[in-house]
Amino acid sequence: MSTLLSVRGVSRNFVVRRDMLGRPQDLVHAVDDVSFDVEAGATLGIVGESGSGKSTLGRLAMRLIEADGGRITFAGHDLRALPPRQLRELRPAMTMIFQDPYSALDPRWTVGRSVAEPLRVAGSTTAAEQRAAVVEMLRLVGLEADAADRRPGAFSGGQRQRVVIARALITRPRLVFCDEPVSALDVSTRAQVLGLLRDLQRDLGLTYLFVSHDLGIVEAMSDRIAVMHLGSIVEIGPAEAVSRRYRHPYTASLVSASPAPDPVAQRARRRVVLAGDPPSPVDPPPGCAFHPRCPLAQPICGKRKPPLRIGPDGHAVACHVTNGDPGLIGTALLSHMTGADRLLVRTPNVAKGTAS
Amino acid sequence: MTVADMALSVQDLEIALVGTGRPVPVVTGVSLAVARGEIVGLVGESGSGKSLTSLAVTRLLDPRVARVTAGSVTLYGRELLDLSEPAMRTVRGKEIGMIFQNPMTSLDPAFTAGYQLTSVLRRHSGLGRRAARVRAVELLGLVGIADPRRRVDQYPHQLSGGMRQRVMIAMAIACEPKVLIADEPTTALDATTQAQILDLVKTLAGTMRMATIITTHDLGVVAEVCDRVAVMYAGQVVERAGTEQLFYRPRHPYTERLLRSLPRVGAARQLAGIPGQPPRAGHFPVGCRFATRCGYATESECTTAVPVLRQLADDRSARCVRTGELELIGVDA
Repeated sequence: MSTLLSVRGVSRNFVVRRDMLGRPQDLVHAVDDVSFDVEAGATLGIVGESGSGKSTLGRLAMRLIEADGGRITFAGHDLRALPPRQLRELRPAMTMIFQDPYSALDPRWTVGRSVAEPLRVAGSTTAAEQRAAVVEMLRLVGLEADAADRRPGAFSGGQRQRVVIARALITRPRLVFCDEPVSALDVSTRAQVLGLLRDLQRDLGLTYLFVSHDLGIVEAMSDRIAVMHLGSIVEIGPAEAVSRRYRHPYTASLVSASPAPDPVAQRARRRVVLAGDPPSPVDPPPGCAFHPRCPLAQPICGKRKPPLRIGPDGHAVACHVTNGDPGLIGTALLSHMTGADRLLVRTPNVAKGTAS
Repeated sequence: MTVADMALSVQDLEIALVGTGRPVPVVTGVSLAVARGEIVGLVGESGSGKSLTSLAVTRLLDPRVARVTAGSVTLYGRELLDLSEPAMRTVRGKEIGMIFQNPMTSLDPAFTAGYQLTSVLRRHSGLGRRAARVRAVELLGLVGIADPRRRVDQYPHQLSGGMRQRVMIAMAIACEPKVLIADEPTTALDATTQAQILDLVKTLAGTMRMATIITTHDLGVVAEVCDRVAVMYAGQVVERAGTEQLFYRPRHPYTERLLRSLPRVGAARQLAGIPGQPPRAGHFPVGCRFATRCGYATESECTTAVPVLRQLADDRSARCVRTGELELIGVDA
């Protein structure tokens, strides 16, 4: 397989506050020196909590917003150096599926018009060709042809998301950025839409950049997974390795916080309860940004940011502690983090205040 | 256990959407009961009626939108649906605590956490200003907020999402209610924060011996904290069971399919959705409301007769005429 998208050292800051002379005062390091590759026809899942920079990273990778630095190569093109006209010509090859199917569609437009819009923008097709393409696309996403004449209001959330998918695929893109595509949907509909995305990937040879806060969903969809924390990738590798042989304490805490539909396992397992609240992206902690909440933190973690060190199987981890100890992996890492002997589990102080 | 032993009991509750035209039944025949110290999950997808049910229990339905048309809600044997609004206001906050989904919209941005907490305490517990403030700081500590003396004077925007939900919980339990109603309490939170908040709710429900109802769309939340579960579909309870029974041996086809829709980290299994869409209020089919999406439905049995919520062995029940003949598959233990 060949690499379709390659991202090297990409960063992006946002100014959140300026002084009276308009000089930037506070910066959010939304994405900080991030690199990854996506193979053609594969899915890279990006998982992280709100504010981790995962959506920003996806937008940067497709140059929907501009990066401050770094290099992005898509299908052989140096994306950041591309002049506007050539970038526009490349747009149909990289599209996006949005999170909320309720706000992503214009309620006054018919479904057919919304789905055809990218073709109209791209030009070079006749109205008749566009209509035929819309009918074919609606069939591919599992909607009836007469859906084209109706408005979004006539559809449920899951059906609307099929419309959004049809619109994203109508230009026959190579890369699709799926930004939390099922978060707004109900559980039973979610699995339907995920199955559809998988079938379409296989049938149309699509490459996905799949962003979600839900590790279970990312695992079900991805060949490789990148875990983001406060603007940096802290762990990346084959999906199976990251979800089972995870080596970063933050990944371990995400795994242990993901609710399993299994009451006995759920109650028996030891969970990492992180102390305190997530750090602010405006004023991130020095060194490893996870260290103030990490039960394994050493003095060095607060001083130097750990590099992403790549192992033999392409599984890379940015952690001073686990990179120095190959035994700290998967459930062994988890039980080390929750080790009762070390009294690392911090529970809310319920006993002190009396609820008499 | 009889109904009177239950802290909170809902019997044959019916809710109709009102507006222009005829009222449209949206919740029908919902019955559930919660004992002291027990956590019951009310699970369903959007539109299933779970939130309407929890709002009806606290009498917070907007009368312009929805009304209770039949049924009974009792708190230790006392009927709540007949209470006057002033009497009900005393029940809310003092005897029934409530936590809502979005702490940002449920807290007033113009007042400090402490002010909002002390007003609850002063109204319901009759504490003076000083005593209420002391108790407010104590409560913030109780719900796991670090440095409560500083946080008490902060405004909601100065608190993180998890901390805001902790403030909401502190307000809900301020008067040591007998019943706690939590409507999607962790839906707006990140995974690691959700885990903390669920731990807190579970601990508090246990130590304070509250009867707790958690509504959620997330079966993972149920697996984590609930003792018993009622599954709702299209305005009806379709299955009631102990949490473990429900997950390992579901007795309603909808529950089975819902369990198979869930991803599980590290298990790498194929997710199976449920084909089709749930019926909308006003368009409920004549027979079983799940029949059109159910792989086990038969023309003769399922589409003609309305199934009742039938009592089964092991103190559980299911609303399915075929439940006795089906071998439904739960999650692997």
